[in-house]
Amino acid sequence: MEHVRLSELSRSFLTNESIILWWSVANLILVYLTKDEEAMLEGEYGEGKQIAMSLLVDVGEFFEAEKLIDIASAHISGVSYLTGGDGLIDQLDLFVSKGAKVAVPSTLNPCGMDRDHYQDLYIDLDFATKQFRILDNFERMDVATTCSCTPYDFSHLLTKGQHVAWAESSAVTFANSFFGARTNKEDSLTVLSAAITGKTPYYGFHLEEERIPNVAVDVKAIIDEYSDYSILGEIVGKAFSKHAFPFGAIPVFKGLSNPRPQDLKALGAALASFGTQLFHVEGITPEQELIAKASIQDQISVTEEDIISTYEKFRPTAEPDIAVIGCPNANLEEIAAVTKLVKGRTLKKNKAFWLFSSSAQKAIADKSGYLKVLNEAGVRFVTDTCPEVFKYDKDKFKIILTNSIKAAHYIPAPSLNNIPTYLLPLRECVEEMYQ
Amino acid sequence: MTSYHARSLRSFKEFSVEGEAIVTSEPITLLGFVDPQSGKIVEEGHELNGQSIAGKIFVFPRGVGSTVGPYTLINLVKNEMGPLAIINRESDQGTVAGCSVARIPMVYGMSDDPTKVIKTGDKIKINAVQNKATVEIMD
Repeated sequence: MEHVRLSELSRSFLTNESIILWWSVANLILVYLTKDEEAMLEGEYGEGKQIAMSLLVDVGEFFEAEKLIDIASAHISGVSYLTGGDGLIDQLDLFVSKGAKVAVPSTLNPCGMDRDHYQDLYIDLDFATKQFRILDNFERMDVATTCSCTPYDFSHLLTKGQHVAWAESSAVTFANSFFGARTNKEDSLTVLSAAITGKTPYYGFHLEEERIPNVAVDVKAIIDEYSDYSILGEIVGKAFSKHAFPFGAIPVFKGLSNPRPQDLKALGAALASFGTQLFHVEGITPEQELIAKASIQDQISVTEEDIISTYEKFRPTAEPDIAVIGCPNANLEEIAAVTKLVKGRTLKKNKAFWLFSSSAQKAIADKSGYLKVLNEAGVRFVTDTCPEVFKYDKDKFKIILTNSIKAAHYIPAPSLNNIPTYLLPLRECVEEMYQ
Repeated sequence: MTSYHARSLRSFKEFSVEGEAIVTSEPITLLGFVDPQSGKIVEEGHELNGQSIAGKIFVFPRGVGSTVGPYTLINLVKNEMGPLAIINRESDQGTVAGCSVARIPMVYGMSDDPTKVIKTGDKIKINAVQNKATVEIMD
């Protein structure tokens, strides 16, 4: 069924076998539920699916979604005890007690620690116990507890136009922009409900007309390092943040040459901090046909000076004791790059260098020979978690260094780790920490 | 007394709340910048920095930031520091979902901009049936 305008409402109502008609004060709103979906809402598929469906109807009605759509996969955020707290445990306990299981292949975002090595990473037992309980609950719901923000690096490849429900802003932006798949930035509760029902409200980025670029960026600077893309995202995100686009700014970039997948990941993660969930790159990303339809409301040029002055704002003003790489989680090429830079070198006294990725990437890094070199150079390969949702021992780590703008934004958040964090390109991070 | 039409979440069916408003025209970053223990906004530079939303009718344009934000709403309620109700001006999936699960009465689509017509300290009454709500600013 095509997206139905309100003016076409009566016609669609008459021709559709819809069951439920929703009225509101200002508008007549319909969320069509199929017989099956209505049965879920009535509790015929159990209380777990009923709770999930009730939430999807609240969200769908809010966004005036005309229906729900079947999804191919779900990527679930809200996994770390640091960010989800006891409320997360309660919610999962509830779903598990009702026997809820996911209906589509579902992966998990990073949790708050490395499952295999939490003791030697200074995680206290109380935190670890709660984190294991969260993961155990997800497992009971048949979620693959892979714990990474880059599920597309080892599973969950997407096709253009495919509808999915993904949370985790950087993964959402990558799914929409790199693959041309269709997902809104699902929040942690909606995505859980979507995974359990296999459905999500059909609005926003599921519709082609919402995916057309609304702002333009002319890149006049040389952008090639991972952190350059991160900085570019910061500049662009900030420049357009004054606009109140319903689904964020959708930039189209001109002047980027040969970005690697991890570069587009870095760009998307930085843009996502400012509400962007989709961007297009001329000649690169899959939805080139939408660039021709662009309705540009604002445009900027980004120069070499802009890049340099933005780097300056994040340059260390105190001496870092740890460098954290892998926000979003490092792919094999990034792991190889770190390996090359640290090979045969020794860390300075009282400095730590941590590389965050999935256990899947760790296994590949091991077989590729990288892990041995990293271990010898004192790099800590941390899995299942990420630089932001990991709970650092504040007595040990007082100043953090990273190559990711997203990490530089979130690590210092007052109710998260609250630790000052600075940014340098990867090469300089290595030089800062190594003899 | 001034009265406005608005919408509320379907799953609440019927509710009525009365309380004091706390209002901001700036978006709220639920994860990281609202303290679930104290109910206080902890965002340097935010106009509500240091103020508590506990037990108030919390009026803000929209939630922003991490997709894990809704768990902050659940944690606030669990710690008995949750707002009495939330009135939003714009769309934000996380706040809708968080309110739906944490059972915080939520109102949106008000017939005038709530962050302008409602002032901090105003006494507010919200009545809702199905998804229709009225918001009254008491004299």
